[in-house]
Amino acid sequence: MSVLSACCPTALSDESLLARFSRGEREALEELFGRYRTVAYRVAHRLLGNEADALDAVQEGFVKALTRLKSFQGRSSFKTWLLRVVSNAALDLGRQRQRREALSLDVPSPDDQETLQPLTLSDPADGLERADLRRLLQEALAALSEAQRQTFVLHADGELTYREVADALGISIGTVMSRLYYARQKLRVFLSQRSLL
Amino acid sequence: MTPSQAGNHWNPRAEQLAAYVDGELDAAAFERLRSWLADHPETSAELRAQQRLLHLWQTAEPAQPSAQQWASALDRVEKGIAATPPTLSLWQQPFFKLALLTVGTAAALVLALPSAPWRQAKEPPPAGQPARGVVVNETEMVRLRAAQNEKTAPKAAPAEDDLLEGLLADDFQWTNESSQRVKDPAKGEARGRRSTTGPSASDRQNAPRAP
Repeated sequence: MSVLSACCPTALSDESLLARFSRGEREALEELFGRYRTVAYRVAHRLLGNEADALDAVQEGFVKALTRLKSFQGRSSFKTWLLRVVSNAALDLGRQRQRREALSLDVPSPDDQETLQPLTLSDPADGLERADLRRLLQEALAALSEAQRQTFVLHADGELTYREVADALGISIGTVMSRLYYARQKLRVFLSQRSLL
Repeated sequence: MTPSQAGNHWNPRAEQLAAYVDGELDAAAFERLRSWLADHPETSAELRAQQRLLHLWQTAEPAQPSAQQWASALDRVEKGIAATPPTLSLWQQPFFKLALLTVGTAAALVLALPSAPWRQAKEPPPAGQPARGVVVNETEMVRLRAAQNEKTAPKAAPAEDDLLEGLLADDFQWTNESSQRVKDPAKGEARGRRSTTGPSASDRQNAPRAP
């Protein structure tokens, strides 16, 4: 995976990796993918709520982010650019899924049933409990507007700063902070009603 | 409680409350908000609940895919990139290059045209008229008109003595050659026309001397 990191004493910057990727070096792509796949998956999973769709959004996000580098132009960090693309891809997939579900006359498909199963965790003892918690948080997140959801997830799960979220969404820092406050307030109300807070 | 600026009392805005929860306030702003929260237990409870929410959120992170799933995902990313043509900038698009070439050629042709407006403007204006785009005041206009009148006016009339001499000569010829003139009106017409400019040298030689 990290062939470039192993060969070099200091980790290469994203800019260097992107330049190498542009020259067709496969190792640069591997390194970028390994560097950001975890955070990208976390964002996508929060926005979609299941593993398979989240992986699809991550793949689509990486492809789009790396084939549209001209739009990126280095105005923000690659991580900010990637998470913006991944979160947009996740929201698009979520909308498509909603349309599919609306057309399927509310009959759950085997795939949908599978997504409701708890994910495999490193500690099976607390797997079920954490899966339930995740499901509840997912329901709470679904109660937010799309703009609030994306802002909250980019900050909480994407670990972006206010400034980076503002750059990713093309809004002001004040709007980011305001959205965060009201998003958390809604989540808190939702979870308080279920005695979780 | 909704944070707002109400009355004469300071109330924190939503942005400041969010920054308080995230620990992003500077020391002065933090102290000011903390002292305010001491008098506003509802908001204080809300912010404490939001901090617990964030902690809860972090404990419920989704599990990561397996190494095999990641390898498969990377493979699909590579195939996706290979199948997607790179997005070119505007100036790299073929149609943009063609448009640029067309516009450049058209501009070169217009510049080379002899009837281009800027070429016409360089020609001197007709007498009595200012050059295009030149603002002329009234005095200058009068001077220009005078110059135009001078150029277009008929040439100066012959001197009075010459006129008198010519008329006398015509009159004499008319008297002596009247029969011939009647027979040859075309010649007479020619003579009549010539009388305005005076007799010719041959006429003067043939003319009888005054007594």
